[in-house]
Amino acid sequence: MESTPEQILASLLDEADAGPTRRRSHHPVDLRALDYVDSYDHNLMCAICHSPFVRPVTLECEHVFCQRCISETMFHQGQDLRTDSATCPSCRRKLHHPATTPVTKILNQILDELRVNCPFRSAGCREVKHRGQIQDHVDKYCDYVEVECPLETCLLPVQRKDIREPRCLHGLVKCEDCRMSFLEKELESHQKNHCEAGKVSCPDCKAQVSRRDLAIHAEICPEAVFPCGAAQYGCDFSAQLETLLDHETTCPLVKLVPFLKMQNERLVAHEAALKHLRQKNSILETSFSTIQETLNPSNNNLIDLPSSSTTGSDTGPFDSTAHHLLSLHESLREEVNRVSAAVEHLDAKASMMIMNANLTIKEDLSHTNAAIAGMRMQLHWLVSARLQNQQRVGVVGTQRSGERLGSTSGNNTAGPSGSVELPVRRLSDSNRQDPKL
Amino acid sequence: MFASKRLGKIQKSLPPGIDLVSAPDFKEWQMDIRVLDSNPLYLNQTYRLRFRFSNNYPIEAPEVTFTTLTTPPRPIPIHPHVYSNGIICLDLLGTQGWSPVQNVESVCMSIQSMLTGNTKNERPPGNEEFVARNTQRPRDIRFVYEDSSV
Ligand SMILES: [Zn+2]
Ligand SMILES: [Zn+2]
Ligand SMILES: [Zn+2]
Ligand SMILES: [Zn+2]
Ligand SMILES: [Zn+2]
Ligand SMILES: [Zn+2]
Ligand SMILES: [Zn+2]
Repeated sequence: MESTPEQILASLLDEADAGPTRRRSHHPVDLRALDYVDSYDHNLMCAICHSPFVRPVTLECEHVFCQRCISETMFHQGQDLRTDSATCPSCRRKLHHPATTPVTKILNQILDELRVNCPFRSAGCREVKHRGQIQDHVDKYCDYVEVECPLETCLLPVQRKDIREPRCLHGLVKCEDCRMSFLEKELESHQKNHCEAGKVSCPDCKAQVSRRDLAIHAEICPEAVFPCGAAQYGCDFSAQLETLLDHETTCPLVKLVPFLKMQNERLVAHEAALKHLRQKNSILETSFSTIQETLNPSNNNLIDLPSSSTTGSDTGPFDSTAHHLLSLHESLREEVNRVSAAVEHLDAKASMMIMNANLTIKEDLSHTNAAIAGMRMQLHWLVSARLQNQQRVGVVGTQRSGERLGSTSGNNTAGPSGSVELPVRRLSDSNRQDPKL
Repeated sequence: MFASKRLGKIQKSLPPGIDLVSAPDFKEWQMDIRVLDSNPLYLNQTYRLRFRFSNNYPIEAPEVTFTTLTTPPRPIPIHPHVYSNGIICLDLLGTQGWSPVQNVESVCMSIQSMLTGNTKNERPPGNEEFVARNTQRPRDIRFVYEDSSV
């Protein structure tokens, strides 16, 4: 679970090698390099190795590649770009984790039943096997795989078919026909297939001809049967050389051959042109998807935020850029509407709150006003009570300093209680406050 | 390796304007390309492309450059993404832009369309300096693909 991307890649590469066919073999067969005898659906062709899928896996984007192909690609990307995230070779979509899913078993079975030529065909093996069995064939049965020479002191390789006689075939021998020297193990194949001087029999007249001359003989062999010159266009006639020449002077199809040939060429040219157009189209499509990808990241930032909170329905694939932009525009418009509604709501709420607060404050204020009025009344009462008190005291005081009292009654208060400051101040305060109330 | 088999599959009939000149092995190929429309910059000219395949092709991008030749005349096309030593600044050919699903044919077609769409009769900025000091292999150069429209 917590393995690093490199470890996963390494294990993928490992797994790719370890099929059921794995064994300590000197000739591991790369199934991607084989010659396929059966034709196969072009959808089964891996876009990287251009051969039918070998142990195919599916990526997140649903593109399918051979396990080895994609592992090697991702390994290479990781090495060269030094990034964790690989991209799909076909659509260049980012692959967030290199995990891949194997495809269904039935597809693997179909693929493993494709027939291939033995990889040692050039050495002489004519076997055609199911792809799934070819490794087994090479490991155990193929006569043309090179194995060690039965003579232990000899280090030269020898084909498996030649070790049935347990002796070394690495001595030099001479071909009796052409007098050339060969290793003993190569003599047989030389005589059978290559010796120019060796005699072979003509398949038609059974005459013995040297291999060198066979091609010349075939064109003049009196027994050989040749098809009509218009066989390609539907004439079934075939005969020995002499009869054929007679036929060709009368065969109507032979006269049409130049015309038909021209038509054929035209058809082939059209097909080729169509193929080129297809290819061009696919190139354009890839570059278009690159453009779309460069557009995408900026869109995600804009669209993801609102869509996650509202509907989340507009993140699907779009069939055109215009469509994409329109939908983007639409979602932005919705977002603006939503925001303005929210602002209105907030506005109403705020003004309500302000009004409520205002009411309470007004009420408090009137309470305070009432309290202040009450206090003023009390103060008034206290002041007048005090004045009356002083006047009474003043009657007594006039006996000591009657002049002062008589001049100013307001300042008088300071006079008698000059030593006590507080009352004086309070009085002056209440004096100042008077006009306000 | 499957790569040689894959390369061997190259179509007998290549797209118009693209010809295989020589493919002696699976290491280096020469291709000729022509621009098909009447772009005056490249009219009646043929250019020689050299492909070099590593052992890791197609996992790894091929090295593709223009080369000069006197007979037949094969100049280096003038293009704001083609240096005068033949090195092509095309993101498809860089490590980042390459994808193993590409092939010789599609690379040729991309370069062909890169030329077709060009109207500027100029070399990339800093061409002289780049050509004078560059000793790196094209694949290792870190280009800045400022302009993806070409
Ligand atoms: Zn593959
Ligand atoms: Zn994909
Ligand atoms: Zn075999
Ligand atoms: Zn031996
Ligand atoms: Zn011989
Ligand atoms: Zn004969
Ligand atoms: Zn006929």
